[in-house]
Amino acid sequence: MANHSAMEDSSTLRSRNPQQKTETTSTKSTTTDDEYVPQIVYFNDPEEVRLREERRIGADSKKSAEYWRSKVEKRTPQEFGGPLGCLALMIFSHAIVWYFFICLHVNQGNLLLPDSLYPSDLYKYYANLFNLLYEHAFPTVYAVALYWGFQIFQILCYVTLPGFTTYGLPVPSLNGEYVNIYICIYIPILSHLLACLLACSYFPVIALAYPTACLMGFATYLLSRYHHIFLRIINPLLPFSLSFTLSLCPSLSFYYNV
Amino acid sequence: MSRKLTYNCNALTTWYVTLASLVVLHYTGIFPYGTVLDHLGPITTVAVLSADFVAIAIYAYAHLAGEAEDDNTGNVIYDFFMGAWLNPRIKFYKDYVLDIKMYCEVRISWIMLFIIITSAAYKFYEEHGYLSNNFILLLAGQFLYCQAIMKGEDKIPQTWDIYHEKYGFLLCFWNLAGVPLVYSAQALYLSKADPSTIDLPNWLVYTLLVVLFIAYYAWDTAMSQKSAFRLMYNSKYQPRPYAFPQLPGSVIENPKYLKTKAGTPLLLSGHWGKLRKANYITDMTMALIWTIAAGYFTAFIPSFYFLFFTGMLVHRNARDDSKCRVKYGRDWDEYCKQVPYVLIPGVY
Repeated sequence: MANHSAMEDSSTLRSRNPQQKTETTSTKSTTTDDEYVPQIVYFNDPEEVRLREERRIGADSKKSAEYWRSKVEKRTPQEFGGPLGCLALMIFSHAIVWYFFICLHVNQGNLLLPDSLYPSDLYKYYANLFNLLYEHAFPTVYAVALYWGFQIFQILCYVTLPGFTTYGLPVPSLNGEYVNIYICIYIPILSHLLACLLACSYFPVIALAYPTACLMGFATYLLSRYHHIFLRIINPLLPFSLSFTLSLCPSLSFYYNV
Repeated sequence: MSRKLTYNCNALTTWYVTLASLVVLHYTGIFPYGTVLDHLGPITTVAVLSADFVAIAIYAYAHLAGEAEDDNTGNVIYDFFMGAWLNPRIKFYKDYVLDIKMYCEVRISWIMLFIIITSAAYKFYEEHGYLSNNFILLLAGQFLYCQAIMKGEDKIPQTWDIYHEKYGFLLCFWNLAGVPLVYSAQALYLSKADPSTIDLPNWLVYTLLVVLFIAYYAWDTAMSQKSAFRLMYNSKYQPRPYAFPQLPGSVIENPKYLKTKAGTPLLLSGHWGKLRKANYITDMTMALIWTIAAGYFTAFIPSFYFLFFTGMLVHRNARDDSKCRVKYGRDWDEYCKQVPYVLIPGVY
């Protein structure tokens, strides 16, 4: 199972102490296959706590690059029916998205099917599908602007909004480095932003933008101190991403440069 | 070669900022909410072609810049489909990095999906002057689902997709086009269908809402229990205090587990002590409720998600079982004895 094998990888890297290794092998040899004893334990069991602590310390030291290179397994083209299966799936993926759209758009969610499997009918059927798509789903400049405008907005959010660090699993191709992950916890900022945004649609924008920006700046600073979070938003892009919604308040950048 | 990667996963903030921005754009008249649905056809084509473009660009760049992983097979079609690069990322400035995989997987798919379905709901409201029972049920279900993904973002890097799957056509296409356009089928169907023929009675909607919340609760806590346990076992657990909703029972204080020879412990407490696949039945229940909301199987396409999903889970269960039997050996037999049921307690 996916998660299991990923976990296995992370747990194998802990047995770095040679003494510990011999210990585990000796216990393995005593319990032969004939006398299987299930090891059901509780998390807070003192012995388990000790083992976890040992593993944790072991994990902190870096394995050699060779060790991790040996962990990178060569993959063979077998999944999804090999290259031909993959090609078929690629075509199918395109077809299903367009087909679903057109069925929902013109046929009330029922399947559009050919009258029969005779070549002439099939030809008519595919020509009809193509014409429907040409009529209803031909790409427009406006659609490109919407889709990529959305993407750019999301990229700005991704890069600029603040977060805290957590860890992923060690990646063999990166020499077992844990991948740091930033998670945003700034609900206070959000509530400010939300309140401001709602207000913006009723009141003059600038009158609210400046005081809110000041408040947000201070709130961010104080909260980061209070929670001992390293504030990761000394960022030239931040004022712009907020200005997307707050209509330009350059003073923000000052408060975020704490 | 030692590289240290930093993920910037602020999905929850992005989620609220995006929703708030859309509200403002709607009320200021810059971008009325129904616009998305009016242009859905062109958007579909643009999304499909963009997904192709991004997949090709990443594949080409990985090879040109020497970022392709060592474990690639060498078969161009297969590598393009499965991906050539494990962690594609764009570095803007110092450590302001865009991790394309996390970004597409969490943001584009689910936020775009939610925009499309709420846009469909808005269109319906504009046309009929009210929001039907079916729509309320569907929106409640899909909102909870999207919200849960944003909330659980810090658990996503430990999943197979991020840890092992390289970023190829498969992930790229379904993230950038497949998920938002195929999963929105129920809402699109409802926005076009005649509400008088498929409307659910009030009592049924209230019942289903209760079932939905129970299923959601069980699903959320099951997933949370498992990933919290995995992180705690590896001494990597960090609580996530502010994310909504905080459900009681999502972390087991002193879980019981079976230590295995293969190394990975098997959890025996909480929901996972009752069912081997505790998340499947709840996920299926939610999918079923979405389908009931979308015309209870009167049309094929809105029902497709549930049928496909159920089939996939049943198949995956069989595959997992045979894999685990090989991997864990006797430990797996013991685990099956401890947790005898897979999908439904007392039945199977």
